Order: sequence, then structure tokens, then C-alpha cells
Amino acid sequence: MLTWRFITLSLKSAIEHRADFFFMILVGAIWQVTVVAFATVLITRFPGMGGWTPGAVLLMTAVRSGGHTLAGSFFMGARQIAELTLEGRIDAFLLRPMPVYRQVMLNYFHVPMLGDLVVTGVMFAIAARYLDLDWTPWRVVYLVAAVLGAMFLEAAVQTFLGSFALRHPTAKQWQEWTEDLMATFGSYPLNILPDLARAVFVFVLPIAVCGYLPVAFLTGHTTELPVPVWAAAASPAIGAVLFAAALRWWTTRLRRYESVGG
Amino acid sequence: MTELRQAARIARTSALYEVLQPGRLAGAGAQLGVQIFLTWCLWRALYDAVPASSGLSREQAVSYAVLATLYGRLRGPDRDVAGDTVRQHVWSGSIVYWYLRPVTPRRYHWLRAAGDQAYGLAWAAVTYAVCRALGLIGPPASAGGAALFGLTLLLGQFVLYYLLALVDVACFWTLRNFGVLAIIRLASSLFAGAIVPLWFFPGWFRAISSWLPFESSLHVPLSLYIGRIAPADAGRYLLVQVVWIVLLALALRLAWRRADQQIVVQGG
Repeated sequence: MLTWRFITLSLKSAIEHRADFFFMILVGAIWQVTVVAFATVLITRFPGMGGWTPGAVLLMTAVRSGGHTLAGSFFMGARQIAELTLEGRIDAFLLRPMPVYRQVMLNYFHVPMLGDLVVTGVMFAIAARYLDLDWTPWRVVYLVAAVLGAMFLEAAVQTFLGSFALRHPTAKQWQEWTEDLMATFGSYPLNILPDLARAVFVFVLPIAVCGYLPVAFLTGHTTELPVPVWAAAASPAIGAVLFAAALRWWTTRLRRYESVGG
Repeated sequence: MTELRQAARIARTSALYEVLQPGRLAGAGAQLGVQIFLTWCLWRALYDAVPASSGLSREQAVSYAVLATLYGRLRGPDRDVAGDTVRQHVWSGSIVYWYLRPVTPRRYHWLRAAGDQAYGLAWAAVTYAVCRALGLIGPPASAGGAALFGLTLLLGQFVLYYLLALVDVACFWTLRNFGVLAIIRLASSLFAGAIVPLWFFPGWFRAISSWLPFESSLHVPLSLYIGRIAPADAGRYLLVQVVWIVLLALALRLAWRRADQQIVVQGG
């Protein structure tokens, strides 16, 4: 009940500035259009990328984009931690009868996700049209799991980095950069990268979980994978595991929180 | 002389903000390096199976993409982090101090932006030299193209400044500008060809983009650099840039005048 009231209050606060609210919805759509723009260029101007057909690359883009939309909807508050700390609002969150993490997430209604959702749906439709794939029920279920895995991975990364913002506001710069990096390079087959870069995106900042590994498994592009096929198949679960770890990290950092007021 | 010193002091604020924080500085460098490397890999992979596409050879496209990444650094550090944007000051009421200083708000805003650009340009110039040495960016297609690249790049930055300043000043009325600002940033990336060179897009998209002010900031200078636009054809693009600068400068002048007349701080 309290959670619902937080959500409605955040939404009311966003709607208060009507023009800005409207423009933020547009932002979501335009942001995704930029991703679609690249994908369209890929399909129409190039025969593929790294041995992947344009349809498969577009599906990867759609999975990452879907995960990003959901992460933006539920975990966007992680990007606000630096401001909340500087304004001393974390202090107030500590006094309320609700976990601080949940309050941080509910504090901000991410308006662009309304536009994001529409464009993501369109992207899935286009990808399905270009892909010669039999959409059996298990494939659809796996696709949904892949999108959720991408969401959890992005939430994990932002929560992990956002935890640093409790003491170091510069962490926000890294959060923004990582989001850009995931948006730009999470949508393409990572076998185009040199081995070292690919290893980083699989084992250090596992952008591969956002799209590359699950879609490779789903579409059968398994010959050049940097991990065993079973690991690629299980990749949606990795996002969830990392998110659980990031939450533990957040709890540890919150215990060391010191108010800006001293 | 005193005025010049005063202007330099204001202009260097953002640069000092970043330079005096080694963590932030190192982070910015590392981020730019990684972004350039990955962009380079991405475009080379795209051209693996085709020697040329949409009139761009692999060398041209890769140079364009890497230069476009450098362009992202041109605007200097994010002033939002330093809490010195019109929106933040209008929101908190501290905008009143802009009116109490011996420098007009309009001049202060301009000097801060000029300083940010100069700092961003220094970053871009150093990174350009490194990229050239490493062979990530090819040389300019011709001497004329290089000169026009510099000129159109400069004019394009004026167009962007006036546009972003207008959005900033609009905060005197709208109080918030996250939405418009985000749209302009995204539109300026998409329609300027920062995400994908405009040459890859269909004709109707390029036609829309030619009516907007964004393509003059990036697409035109970079196309001149790589030789996709011949120096002889640059006249039309230069004219469009000048028209946009005049129109936006007049609009900004009017907006500042109106803002000065109606400023309200914390209701009083």
C-alpha cells in the first residue's frame, strides 16, 4: 500500500510539469529511435555483422532495449543516488518504515519508459519478421527470460555503481557512461571485438548477458561463443544473480553512509 | 585588460572543476579511450564484408565514426554536475546572484559556455593527435577540406550553443527543462549524424535533417574532412549555418531580454 502511494506520488510529481512530462515521453521514444536507426542502417546497408544476419542482430537490440526499458521503469532511482545523498534526502529515507533501496527506486518516476515500451514492441516485431525462426512456446518463454535477465543486469550494474555514490558523487559519471556503453555495445555480436575486449564484456562488465549470449543461444550462433553453450543458455539467470549480489553490496555501503550534514 | 582577466576566470571554471579532481579527469580519459576503441572495432566489423556502402569507403566511415566520438567531448564537462545551470539556479533561487554580479547573466552564460567549449576542444585536439598517430583516423581528404572542416565545425558549435542556451533560458518560464534538453541532445546526435553518418539514411530522412540546425554541427564538417562533400559544394552548407546562427542569436537575445524583465525568485 505504502509502495503504491510512493509510486503515485512520484508520478504526480512528474505530471506537475506537464510540458516536461510530455517531452520526457518523447525522449524515451527518440532514444529508442536512435537505436532503431542504427539497426535499420545495419539491415539495409550491410549484409550483417560478425557472421550474424541483420535479423539476429536486431533481435539482440530488441532484447537489450527491452531490458533497458524495464530497468528504467523499476530501477532508475539508482541513477539519482548522488543527488539524493548531496541533498541529504537519504537521511529522511533512513527514518521511514520502508527499505531505503525501495524508497530510492520509488522516488523517481521514469517518464521516458512510456515511450520506450512502444518502440521496444516495434523492434521485436521487426526482428521477428526478419528472422527465420520457429517461435515455439519455449523460445518465447526463453526470450522473456532473456529480457528479464537484461533488466536485472542493468539494475545490478547501476545499483553497484550507485552504491559508491553514497560517498563519492563522481560515481554518477561512471553510471552514465556505463549506461551509454551498454546501450551502444550491448546490441551487437561481441565476436567482432578483440579477445581482450570481449573477455571484459563477458567476465568484468558482462554486457554480453544483455543480448549477445541469450540471443546467440536462441538463434543458434554458438560456434564463436567465448563460453560453453550451456553457460550462454543460462545467461538470463546471471543477471538475477548479479542483481542479488549488487543488493548485498548496497546494504554494505549503506551501513557506512554518513550524512552530508555530518 | 581587467575585463579580459575576468572573462578568463569565468571561462576556466568548468575546466578547473575537472582538472582539480584527478579521479574525474582519469575517468573522462579512460571513458573516451574505451569509446573510441570500441567504435573503431564496430565500424571495421561492419565493413568486413563490403568495401564501400552509401558512397563511404571503410576508411572514410571509420574516420567519420571516430571523429564523431571525439565530437561528443567537444562540449566540455557536464555542467549539471557542478550545479551551475540556469535550471538549477532558477530552481533554487540562486539565479538572483547572476543579477548581482558585475557581469550580466547573458555574458556570464556565454563565457561559461565558451570556456567549456575551449576545454572540450583541447581534449578533442589531443585525442585527435593520438588517434592520427595510431592510425585510427585518416588524414583530411584535401587541404581545402581541412580548412572548411575547421570553419564549419566552429560555426556548427555556435549553432549548438545558441540552441542549448535558448533551452536554458526557457527555464525562467518552464522551471524544468529535462525533457527538452534530452530531446535536443538526442536529436542533435541523430540528425547530426553522430550515431550513424547521415549518408546511410534514406533520402527522406536526409531531407528532414537538412531543414534542422543539427546537421551543420557535425555531419557537414566531418563530411568535408573525409571528402564526402567536395570543398566546392561547401558554400550552400556555410550559408545554412550562418542563417541558423543569425536566427537563433536573435531569438536568444529576445529570450534573455524577456527573462531579465520577468525574473521571480522564490515568489518575491
